[in-house]
Amino acid sequence: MHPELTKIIADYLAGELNEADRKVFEERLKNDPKLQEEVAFQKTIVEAAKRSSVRTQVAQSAKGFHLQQTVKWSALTIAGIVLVSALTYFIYKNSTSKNADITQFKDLIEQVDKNTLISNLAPEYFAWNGKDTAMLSKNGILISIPESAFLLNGKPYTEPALIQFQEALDAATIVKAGLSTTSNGKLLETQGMFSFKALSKDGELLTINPKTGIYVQVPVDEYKDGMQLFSGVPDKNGIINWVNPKPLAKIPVPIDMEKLNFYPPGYEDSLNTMKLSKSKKYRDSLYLSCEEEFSSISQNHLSDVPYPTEQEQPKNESKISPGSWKDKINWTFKIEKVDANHAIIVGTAKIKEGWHVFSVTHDPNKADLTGYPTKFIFNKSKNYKLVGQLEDGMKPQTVMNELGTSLYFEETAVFKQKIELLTDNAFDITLDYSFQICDVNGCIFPPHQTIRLEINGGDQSTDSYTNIPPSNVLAFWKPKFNNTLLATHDFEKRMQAIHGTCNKKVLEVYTKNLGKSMVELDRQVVQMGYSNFEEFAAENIGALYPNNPHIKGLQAFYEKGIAGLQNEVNNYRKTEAKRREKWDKNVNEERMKESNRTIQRENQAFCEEYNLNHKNVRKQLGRTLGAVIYTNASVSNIDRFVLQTTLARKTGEFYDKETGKTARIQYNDFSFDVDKPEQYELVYAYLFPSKLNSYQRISGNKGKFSYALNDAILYDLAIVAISEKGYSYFQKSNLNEGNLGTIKLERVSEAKVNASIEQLNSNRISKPMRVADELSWLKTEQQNYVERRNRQNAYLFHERIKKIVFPCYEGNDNIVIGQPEIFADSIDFFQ
Amino acid sequence: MKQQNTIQLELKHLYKKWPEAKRFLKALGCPANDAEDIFQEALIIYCRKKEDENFVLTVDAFVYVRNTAKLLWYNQARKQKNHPTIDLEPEIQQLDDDWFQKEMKLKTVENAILQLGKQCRELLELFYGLGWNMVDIAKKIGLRNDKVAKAQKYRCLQKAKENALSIENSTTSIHI
Repeated sequence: MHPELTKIIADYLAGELNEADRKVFEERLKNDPKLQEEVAFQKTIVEAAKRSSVRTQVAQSAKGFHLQQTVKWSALTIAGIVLVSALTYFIYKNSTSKNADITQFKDLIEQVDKNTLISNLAPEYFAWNGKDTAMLSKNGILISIPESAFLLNGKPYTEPALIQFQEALDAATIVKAGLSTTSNGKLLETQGMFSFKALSKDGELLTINPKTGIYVQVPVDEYKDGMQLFSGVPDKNGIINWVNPKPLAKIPVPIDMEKLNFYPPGYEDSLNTMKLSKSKKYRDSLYLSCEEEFSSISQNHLSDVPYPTEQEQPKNESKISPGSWKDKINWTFKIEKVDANHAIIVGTAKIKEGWHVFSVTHDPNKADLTGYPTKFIFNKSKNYKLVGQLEDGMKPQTVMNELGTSLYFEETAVFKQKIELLTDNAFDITLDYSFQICDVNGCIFPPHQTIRLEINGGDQSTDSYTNIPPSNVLAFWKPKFNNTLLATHDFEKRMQAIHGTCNKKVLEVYTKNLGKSMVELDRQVVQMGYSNFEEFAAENIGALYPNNPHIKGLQAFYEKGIAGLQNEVNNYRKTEAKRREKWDKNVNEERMKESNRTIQRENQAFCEEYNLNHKNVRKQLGRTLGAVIYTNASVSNIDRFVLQTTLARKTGEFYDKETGKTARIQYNDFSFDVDKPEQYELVYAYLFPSKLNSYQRISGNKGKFSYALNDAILYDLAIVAISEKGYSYFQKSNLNEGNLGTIKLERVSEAKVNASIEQLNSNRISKPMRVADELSWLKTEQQNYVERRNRQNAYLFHERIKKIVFPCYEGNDNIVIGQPEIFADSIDFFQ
Repeated sequence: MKQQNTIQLELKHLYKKWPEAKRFLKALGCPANDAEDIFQEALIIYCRKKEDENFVLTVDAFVYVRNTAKLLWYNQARKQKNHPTIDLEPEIQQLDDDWFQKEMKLKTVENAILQLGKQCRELLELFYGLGWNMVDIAKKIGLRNDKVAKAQKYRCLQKAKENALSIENSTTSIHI
């Protein structure tokens, strides 16, 4: 019995001793009867462990069997008979409140004890305190009485009441009590009977409120199909006739949340078709990413950086206008829904320090006719009408000075206009807003600004979206909600239909009433106008664990869960919006620099070429600078000729009267085509002249490039094309004229392009113009294409998913033009 | 593992007939309280017997279980001597062989396992009964690693042996 011995024997029996040890052990075993006995003993123990293991398995199957039985039938079947005049069943409320004190009814009990519905059967008494209460009888009948269960003379009764309860569940009791089991002369098979009587404090008989009903759960050994609930009517002789059978409710079967599917119909199938990840995490995340933003209103200040076209960027447009009002005040608009028919248009202005904008209540007459109250000007529309006037959304500052009294806002101003929606359809609101901004030095009065706001359908108020928010689904789809009404196949089925209603309130009927019976909730939804739920109501499914004290906690957990998920979406969106904003800003800056550079470069290129041509002409005319003094007229004639020819890039001749010579500036046609230009987002050809410091960038039209080359210069050509996939490149040296035909570009790395161009640029002349800036800009553009494409794909992908997720979502079809391939893997979702 | 699953499936299937077995035992005068224990014991014996290579099932599995249950009930009734009306039937005696006797003794020793703590019991059952390896067992019952589990196994065995001895001393003798 020594532990060490136990260990060795265990290893020996398990074959875990090494060769040497085993031999020693077996040798000892041969000659030691005590050891033999010990080994045999331990073998028995091992055998017993095996047996115990089988026992565990048997016990498991027993558990499984009984659980199934319970779930299937026994827990909630009313087989029996009720002796109360009005009884509806299956209305249940969670009850955690304590039962009322029975002693207050002591006298009443004495009075009524002999007066029972079933004679010869001892009654049981419960005190009801007027609140939701559940009671358990001696034989395990659960009676749940909700708050408004009773009526006294047709009026709700809320005072404490006495419940007299009788039960006869087994044959012996039934026979002893002399209870009949016939219905209009026909024999009934019974699983038990009970009587229920409620009395007010003064002994008046209470009736059950047919709208609320009480919930009774009767345990039975075996559920028999077709069992019904009969009401008992005593005849003259006190023999009860059982009539008016009603079907019993089924108890829902709780299923593990993990095994249920609450996604909108078709969501999983569509994702499978798109071959997207099957992980629940990914699918949840994608589903959640479809969550509508709180305000369902989108704004149409389209400040997106557009795709550049193949034309050159406009160069002369001044991008900064100093002194403009736009950098002093920044307006944003949104629409807040008040209810189904009302909304508020909120305009918010962020004002630069030192500046102010006027309140709507500002009166110029009181301020020496200075200041202009902010105004929103609406067009007349049949879609909406204004309610009241434009109001300040916050308290303005009141400033009194030598001008009088001014009311204005600094830093932030908010203006609100309430509107009434006259249609359920989506429409746009166009409004002009006019305002004046001032600082200490004076005022700017910008022209009226126009903004277009989109308003979605009228049933889309803050508390009733036209969709089932994913957050509201995911928040209950958690193990925490196991063993609730929601974790059942029955609810899974309903959820499919709920998605179809697109009405969040339908979902709330279920999520907010975890303790109620399914059939009651189904009926509630039918009353909301969804007649297809009648089919569900007909299934007559009862409550699941209505007494679960955690239900209230779960409710809070659910609300929190929704908020958490929405937060997650919002944070993700905010981060993404910030990133995009930063990106766009960067792209814009690069473009601004680029357009400045282009202007400079072209100026320089022109000057240099002009000088070159000028020198050339003089050479041809035999005039060398400084050798002869010319008349101003002739010089200016040469200048004009060179200027015109260089500008036009066309061959021209100049006859010099003074020398009698003719000078010629020759430009040669030069052209080429780029093969399959449509595969590139942008194609630029760079010409590096042998005799000029600057270089030229030319852009083609649909892949066709043509340019006039100066006959006096040799050019190196580099073609750079960018697409979201990267760079393509071609180069050719010492060109002067001709048609290069169709050029096929070669896919190369960014580094290769940079190196090749740097080389071309630096080889030609001693002081070439820098190309590094140009290359860096090209890189930005290239990345921007990828970014644009990703954004567009993300958008289209989401539109596609949203149409699946929200059956009522019509989509934003005006943006979907030539649907590109969906690169789902290039789209990042948040977790 | 696969075999375990088939056994579990078969058990599940057999258990569905428990109501039938209940009626059967009731008809033999077995009180409702004891009936399910006896039925479960019969299932255990059936599973154990199935592991024996020489065992050939000549009747339907449920019939075998039912007859075993009947035998168990007779044994129990005989011991308790409070059901004098029952007579042994000849076919029962056939079942009542050496193996069966041994099994009944083993059932007493099994108490030594059942008296162990939950973790010990699970460990020994998984190791000896289901043939799991120590790594998996450690994971299942929440021990740090297989070494810890193995050391625990020795302790559990030791405890089981001690339990068995004290059972032996307190009740009838166990023949080892």
